[in-house]
Amino acid sequence: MADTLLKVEDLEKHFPVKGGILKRTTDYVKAVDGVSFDIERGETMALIGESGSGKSTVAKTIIGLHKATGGTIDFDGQDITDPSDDQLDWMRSNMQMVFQDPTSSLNPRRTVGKSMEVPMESRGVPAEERQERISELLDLVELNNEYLYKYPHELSGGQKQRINIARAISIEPDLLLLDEPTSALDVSVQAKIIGLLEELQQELGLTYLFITHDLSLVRNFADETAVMYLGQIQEKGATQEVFHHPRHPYSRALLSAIPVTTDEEEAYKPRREPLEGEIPSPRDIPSGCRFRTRCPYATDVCAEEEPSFVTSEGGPLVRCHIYDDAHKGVFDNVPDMTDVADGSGGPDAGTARQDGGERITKRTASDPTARPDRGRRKDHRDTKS
Amino acid sequence: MNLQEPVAEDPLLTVNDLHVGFESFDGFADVVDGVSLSVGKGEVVTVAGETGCGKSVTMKAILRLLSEPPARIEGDVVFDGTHLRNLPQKEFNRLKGRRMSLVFQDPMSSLNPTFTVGEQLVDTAQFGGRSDTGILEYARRRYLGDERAAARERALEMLREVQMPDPENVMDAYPTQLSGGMCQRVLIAQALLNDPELLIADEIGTALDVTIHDQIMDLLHDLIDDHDLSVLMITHNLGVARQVSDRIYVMYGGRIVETGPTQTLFDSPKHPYTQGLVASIPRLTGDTMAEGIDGSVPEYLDPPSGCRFHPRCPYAHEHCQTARPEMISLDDQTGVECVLYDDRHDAPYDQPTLEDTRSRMGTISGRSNSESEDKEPAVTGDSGESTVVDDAGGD
Repeated sequence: MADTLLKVEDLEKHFPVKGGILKRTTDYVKAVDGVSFDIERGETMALIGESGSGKSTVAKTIIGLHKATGGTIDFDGQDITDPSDDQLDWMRSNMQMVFQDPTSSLNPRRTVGKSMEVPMESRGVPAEERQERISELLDLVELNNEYLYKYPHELSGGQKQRINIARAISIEPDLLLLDEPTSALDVSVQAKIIGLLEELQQELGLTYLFITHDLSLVRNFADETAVMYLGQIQEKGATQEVFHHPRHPYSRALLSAIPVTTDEEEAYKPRREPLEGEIPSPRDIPSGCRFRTRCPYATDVCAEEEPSFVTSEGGPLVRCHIYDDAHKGVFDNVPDMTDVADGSGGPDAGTARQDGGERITKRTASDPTARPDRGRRKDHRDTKS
Repeated sequence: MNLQEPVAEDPLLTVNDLHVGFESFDGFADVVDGVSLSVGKGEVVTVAGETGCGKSVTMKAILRLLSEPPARIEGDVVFDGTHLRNLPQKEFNRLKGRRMSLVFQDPMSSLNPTFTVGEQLVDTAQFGGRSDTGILEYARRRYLGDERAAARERALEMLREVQMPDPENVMDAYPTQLSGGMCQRVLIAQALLNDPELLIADEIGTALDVTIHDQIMDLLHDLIDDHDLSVLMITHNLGVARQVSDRIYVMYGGRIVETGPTQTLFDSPKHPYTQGLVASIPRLTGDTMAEGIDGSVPEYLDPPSGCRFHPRCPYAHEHCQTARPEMISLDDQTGVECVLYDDRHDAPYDQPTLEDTRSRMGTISGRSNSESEDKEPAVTGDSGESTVVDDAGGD
């Protein structure tokens, strides 16, 4: 059996809302509401979802920036849900976080060298070793000693993020929590950082919890993927499975909404199922299935009963009544899995792709002002309605 | 081969050799360096590029939103036969309010938080482009007669058209009470209230979540068709550019480096920068993704000589450091600013394909497609390097 590094079970983080003259707790914001997952040592797990789904709160609760209001967190065999000071000390040298905004996570009044020295200082690395380590680390993140005496404002976004990563790995942690490490960067730089993270994982055997809203990035980077919505994981499984055959209507909608750049990807996406409305407030979570207010397949049973995880055909775990045998026949309309092209291209997928291709060439050939993609999007909508 | 810029057939907006620089304490920042572009009637054109490539500055210069000084602007901007650069401010305002409109990047901060959405929309409907309205005239038209009521009706109509949920209540709400997606809808409604011919959209919807962004793009498609709009869109997301536009201009370091119809540009990108950009996009199918382009966008205080991309370009040679490449038209819609495509110049490299550039950059393996992912090295930089050596030796 593989070695589980982090095990999170039924994690809850409810923030109290205070109101009235006496500032009594009147309500709770249920940012994280029962999240369970575990990460094997050396693997990458991706947590994806829209803003407000509680992804960052999960990471912050794990590392102890928030105190969990329920559930347990096990790290390397120790229960760190409510860590003692000693445990906190131990935790912080084995678990580090890289934040989203590379600029605001560096102290503008410290040079790069100083910024990198601080974590080592607090971990008790002897002063004479530090300089050498810093040079090594800079080398590892493909920078050099020239940067030691620079201030953060002299660096580009990509360079700053490299420094942040170097700082996080300087104390040799086992687990890195990456909270949208590339979303403030441009694509050409983003690719560089992802490449660096992959390399570091190979070299140092790091384990990553990778939080992002960029789904196509996850496809390249993560072993396992969990899709979060309103504080709960809706679907989780091997990345390939989740992307190949997304089952939960929310995962399908997320995937189909990504603007892509090639025809192959267009064919790979599930059929367009645009979502109505916006994510509800975590103060007022809908009854039953929390996704039902936006779900194109929702029926009465979704409002009454909260779905639990079911597996469908040995695939990922899905929190949806559609795949629950107990509710078979309740849904007259279910996601059509055949329209998703698999690697070799199923018969349906093949024709769909061809149709699309022909349509594009026809339109562009006959009418230079035709907009191939817009035409195609319309077609999808027509077939749906 | 001719060296003319590819131009739209029936141009509504033409920008000719636009230069924008800024005076600063550190010296002169030469940001936009000779940008020429055109938007045809009924055409959707995208300017794509990374942060710091001068996309937004170009747009602001077109709309005269930069104060001079510190900005120094040269070049020609022609809108439907009118030269905008030397138009008196009053006339320009009228044109800007009635025939062009603009949607800014951040939907939450583009609305005034101290007025209700209704007030802002109705004022736009009534007074858009009339900054010279006197106080008496303003009061008369605002408080007397039924002009205000008619304008309000029009604003409501527009909110319905942008599929705003519960438009009556939204009219009386303050922007802070609305979500990002709703603010974006309000902004689009406001932009379309006076039936403009040209819509300039700066990173529309990029601040929003992917599902909401999708809704907004869908809406925009329909509106563009219904209102027969010409659109100049600015985005850093090539996927978005591909979804909406007919033609794309790729900008790098304050210059247009490549232009072409959307499909052509994505099928066979020509400029090494475009190729690098396209190759660096993570693929949903899990195909290998290139390792990114080395270096970062140029400093405008001291931009690289010659081709501004040469410090980052895998095909850079001596010539690139000395002479600025000319825009080479490959046909009447495609053009590329790179010496590798110039017949008169004997370059040490062949015209690169997307695959060439990808292999030169080195790739990050898509892990999910390979069964034995653990055995495979994550970065296949070796093969990339060896190709470089081979190519150089061949020349």
